[in-house]
Amino acid sequence: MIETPLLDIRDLSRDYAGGGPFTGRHVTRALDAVSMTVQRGTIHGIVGESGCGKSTLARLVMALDRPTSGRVLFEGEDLFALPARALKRRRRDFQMVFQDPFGSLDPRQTVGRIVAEPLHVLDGKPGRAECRDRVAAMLEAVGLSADHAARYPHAFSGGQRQRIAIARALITEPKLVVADEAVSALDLSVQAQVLNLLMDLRDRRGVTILFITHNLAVVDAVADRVGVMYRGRLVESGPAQAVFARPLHPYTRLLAEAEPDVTRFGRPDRAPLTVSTAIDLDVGCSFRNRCPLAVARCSTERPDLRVLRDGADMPDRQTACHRAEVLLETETAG
Amino acid sequence: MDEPLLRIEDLAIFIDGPDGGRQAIVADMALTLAAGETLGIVGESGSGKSLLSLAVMGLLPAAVHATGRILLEGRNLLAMGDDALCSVRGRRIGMIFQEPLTALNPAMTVGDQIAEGMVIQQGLSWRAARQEAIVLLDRVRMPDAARLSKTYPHALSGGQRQRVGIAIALAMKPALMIADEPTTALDVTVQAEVLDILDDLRRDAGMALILVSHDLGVIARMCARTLVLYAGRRMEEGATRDVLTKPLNPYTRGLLRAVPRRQPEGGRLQTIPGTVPSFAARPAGCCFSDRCPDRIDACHADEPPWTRATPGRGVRCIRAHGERAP
Repeated sequence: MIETPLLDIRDLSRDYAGGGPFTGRHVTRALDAVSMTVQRGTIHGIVGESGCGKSTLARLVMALDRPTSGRVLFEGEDLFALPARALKRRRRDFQMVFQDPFGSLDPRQTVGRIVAEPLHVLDGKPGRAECRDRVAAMLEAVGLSADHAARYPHAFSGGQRQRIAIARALITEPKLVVADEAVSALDLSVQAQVLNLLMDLRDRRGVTILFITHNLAVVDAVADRVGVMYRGRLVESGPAQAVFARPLHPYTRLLAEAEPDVTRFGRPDRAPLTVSTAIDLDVGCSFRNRCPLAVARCSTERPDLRVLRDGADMPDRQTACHRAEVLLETETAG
Repeated sequence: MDEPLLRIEDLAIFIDGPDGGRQAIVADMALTLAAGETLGIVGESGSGKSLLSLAVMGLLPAAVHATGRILLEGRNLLAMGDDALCSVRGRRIGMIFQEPLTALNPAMTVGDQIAEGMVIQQGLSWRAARQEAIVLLDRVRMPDAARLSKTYPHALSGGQRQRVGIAIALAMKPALMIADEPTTALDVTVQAEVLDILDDLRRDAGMALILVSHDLGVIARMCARTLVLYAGRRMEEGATRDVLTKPLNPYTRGLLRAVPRRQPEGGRLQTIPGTVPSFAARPAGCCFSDRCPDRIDACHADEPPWTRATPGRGVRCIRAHGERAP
């Protein structure tokens, strides 16, 4: 029997209505039939550029928003079918770390209160002494010290604040932590410390982390699996190492090539592809106007996530590209 | 002797303390930049990299004072009055800011924002300046420039806004362009495009470029020379390839090791312990001595002097030369 994945996302879509009284109503599909599973005790990376739907996905997984269609199964339980009280109880199992370590902590509360706050929503809320002990233990677990609890957020640097935010997310001992651009605002020397902390939490506490970022290098450094999103759709997924070593979708390859690298000096020979023409996003592949491999089929038939024909040596890998086989050939040739 | 385009000597930037005292945020800063050259300035938050670029622009906040000399084409910007500075700013030095949304005026069309400088500084008519603005938008590869010049910033994407920011800075044909984290807020594919535009303009117009960034990869791609700052001090300077492949200062080495990359067997990333000190809480001696893995007792005693290792290569570290000896 297959173990129930911690998180099972099925055909999840979210439409946002846009437009005003003068421009006419229109609907933007921020998330388009995304399906994926996240296994326990892994760091699952989601990468994509702004507007690809990754933050919408985070909000839905956290049940902060309702989907237009589709389901989010948390340990097999549909979050959006739960009664409000049951959902509230469930929330202790999934917590979030936000991007901005300055905006996400209340400046007028002590660190101790900030970290303890999620405990207040628990049934059978722990007593004051136990709260204090748990906060102290949690602060130490994220590399701060227990006496930091009496101070206010302004006394801490960006990296320390992000540790406080992580401590707050972990205080209810959640099974899943959603980290939306959690290290993007941090300095390089501090970023690595926080990334190591996330890996430690996975290994020591078995915390599952949905790690959302636009930074490929960061995902490559920490994630076990990765999903690449483009315009609301999941276009590639697989083990992080394999995906970045040998992309199966032209968009993943474009991202990897555009990423600045400290070992590549000077300007790359190949000019980056610019978006040339507007396309009808309702049919075909939404990447076709930027894709060097696009053929007629790409503008009529929408590619679904699939395993490659000769995919035997590529376990667990999927791509939503009609031309993935051609992509692999050009890669080995070039 | 050829006077370089920009020469900064003994620059120090102070902030007034609440008790009337002064504290140095940036000290012992010096650099030279020739016409057409590219210099990358790398540093984490609190390194003074933004203050340095603001000082060159003469845009330091009122509570902050600069001493030393900033010579642009031989004229000391720090000794200039506001009026004289105004004609240098914009005309000779252009600046591109990090936040393309907050740097633009939301209530003015982008075409007019580009034209404004040309009307005020060069005495063009609005009509001619607006025409010129369209040409400039075209040069920064803005699609459909004529139509977009009549739109407002809110209607543009982040990459398009940053192109407008570049076009504004470019309108005066400056000899020196300072770009402070110009692509930090942009997606990687858009970042690549904007960096290419900057590089083309530098090549075509012979403009010198100072690129301030925390991203070593961006610096490697764009800049011939690199200056590494930490806590308001120069730590290391040299040809970018040398600095990033054969760093002399332990701080540069630490930064390079901390660049996120996959570790074998799920190993941990290398880090620099501790955090960047605030300017009020710098350790005694070398400003990096509290975090440095190579420190010795002497590091806490005195601030190490800036030394020239080889021509064009400088470093501030008493251990840098000792280590290179066999």
